[in-house]
Amino acid sequence: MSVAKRKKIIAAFLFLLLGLSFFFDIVLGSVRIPLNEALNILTGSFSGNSVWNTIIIEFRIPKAITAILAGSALSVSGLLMQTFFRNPLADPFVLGISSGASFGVALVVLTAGSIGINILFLSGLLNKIGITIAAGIGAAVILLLITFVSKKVSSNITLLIFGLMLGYIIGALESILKYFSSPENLQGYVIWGMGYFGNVIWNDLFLLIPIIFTGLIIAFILSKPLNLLLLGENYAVSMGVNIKAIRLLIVIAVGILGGVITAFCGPIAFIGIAVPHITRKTLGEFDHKILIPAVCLVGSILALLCDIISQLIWHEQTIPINVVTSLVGAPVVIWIIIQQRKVKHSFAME
Amino acid sequence: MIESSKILYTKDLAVGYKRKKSDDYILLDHLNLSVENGELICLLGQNGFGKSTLLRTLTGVQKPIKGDFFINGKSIGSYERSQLAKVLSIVLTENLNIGEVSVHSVVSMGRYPHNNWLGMLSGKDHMVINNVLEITGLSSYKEKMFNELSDGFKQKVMIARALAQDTSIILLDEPTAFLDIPTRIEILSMLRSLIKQFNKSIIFSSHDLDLALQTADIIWLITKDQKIEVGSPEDLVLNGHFEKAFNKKEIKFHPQRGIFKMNRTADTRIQVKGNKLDVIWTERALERIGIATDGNEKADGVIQIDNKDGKLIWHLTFNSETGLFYSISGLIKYLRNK
Repeated sequence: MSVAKRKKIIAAFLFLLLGLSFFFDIVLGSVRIPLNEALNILTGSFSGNSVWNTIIIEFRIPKAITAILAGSALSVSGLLMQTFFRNPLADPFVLGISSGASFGVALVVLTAGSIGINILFLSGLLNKIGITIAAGIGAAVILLLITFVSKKVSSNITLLIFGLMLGYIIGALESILKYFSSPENLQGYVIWGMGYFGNVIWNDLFLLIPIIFTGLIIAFILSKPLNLLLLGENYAVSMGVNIKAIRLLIVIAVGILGGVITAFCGPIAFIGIAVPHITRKTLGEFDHKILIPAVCLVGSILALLCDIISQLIWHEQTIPINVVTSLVGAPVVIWIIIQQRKVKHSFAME
Repeated sequence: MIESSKILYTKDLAVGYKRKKSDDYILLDHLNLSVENGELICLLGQNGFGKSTLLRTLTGVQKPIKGDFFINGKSIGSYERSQLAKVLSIVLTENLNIGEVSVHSVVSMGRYPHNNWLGMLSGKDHMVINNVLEITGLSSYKEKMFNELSDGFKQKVMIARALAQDTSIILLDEPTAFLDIPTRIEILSMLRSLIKQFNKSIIFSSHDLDLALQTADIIWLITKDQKIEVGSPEDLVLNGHFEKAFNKKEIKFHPQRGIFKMNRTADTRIQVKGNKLDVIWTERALERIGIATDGNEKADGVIQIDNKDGKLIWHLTFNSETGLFYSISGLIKYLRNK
């Protein structure tokens, strides 16, 4: 079988899997809705049971769409960071980008009501815009810091440790905020921190979809320079890459994708690191113009599957998405580390 | 000299590092170098004397401290990165590891400066790539994964990629540094044949004097006083610049043989006679243990090498003693104990 044909078959299989997992994510849930009723609602002829209508249309469909957006956004930002830092273990979560976004959210959520200006953010969409902006800025600041440090240190391991330490520092600052915040704010923040796709309603999606698409399009436009960056910065520059502009665009794309998803869904672990590896290995592909759409596909499927599992694992109760992504993703990371000798070949690690 | 035949020339160029607080740190100053079409130039010098800095400056990564240089008559400052990528390509020392990339894909990246924003390969691109793979002898390896290749092969692929970039100048920073000697020779003779076929100008840096002497048309020799002496390898040997540039206490350049030798003062001299080839290798062994072989009259001893029915015999007369030896190692063992 030719390589091209094999890739087409894999792509077709992935699309099928995406359709199935999207469907089951909507049909399955803590409230049992009969399959034929769910199908009726999905095809537009409403069920007699108005609660089921509401659950599927107002809750489960936006949640499934959010899972797709989050899976794509986190996977693409993981891919961008792994290529840019030439580090197989880079992703928004590991390098502290998510922590930066969380801290931005913590500042808004935990101080709500205590500082006059935050009264503005308290209600509805305005609140979410505030959180989104804060998370995006938080993510971008940390990413700029990491980029700056990556110029100073040559070792990837040093950079990882720096990212982890940065995460601890931010965590400590967060703890201070938590300590002084009101119980209601704290509860909201803790629940947000467990990660959940279901917080997003249709109105939010009108904001979320264009933002995520912007980030994904920026990433796709960067595919040619990203390919060249696989050879290292020096070669990339010698082949005409304007490294400063590219670095800025990568920071913006990761800030948008990682920051905004964190704002809406909470910090979601391991999808960003695991999906690019799974995709590269199964497709045997390096070219980012194929990899970027491919990780979107794989990331969406994984996020949907994690969401399905989070609803099914415990009777009539949804467990936090982060529990599931960690259970699925952490073994992938362990596998990466064990295979380090091979993975090292994916990048020029010192 | 006709100006137009120069692809690259420098004008009073100084390279080094800019510093904010103190004076700039200049490694090489007042450089007036030029590169012509079809020249294979070796930048030669001891480590730490500014080889890499000069190359980095010539690739446009680092700014000149003073002066300027021109490629195709245009000052480096007026080049956009994307324009420069069409006239100058590089090959680096570093041993690359890239995941899931085939040889063909790495070489095709060389076409990126020439194709569209997505890097789609045109018919012409495919032609160039196949041609380059053919010439570099990589055609049958094009589907192979880059990571599975040996270091020497990887370096060949990177050179093929530079060729696909289709630039008039290729700069190579220590292209053979980590390779074994047969592969070094292979890579350098490949560069030689590329010059012939494509009429390109190639500059490579090296600290491997032996190979540089054998391959380069022109040597840019970095001297100890921050200058560069330019000339054919033979010129630089005859006018004594090599000796000046490389001689140290422990090491001495041997102009007759074009190699370096350890500089030992010998207190014993032995004359060797016999078949020319036998004499050369016997002398080498003697020099290694610190015995000089160039004295005739003042020699402390004589070795006569005879060939009896295809077997070599060494007759030693030394300090009024005589001995017979059937191998150089036996001879050396005896002399070392004296």
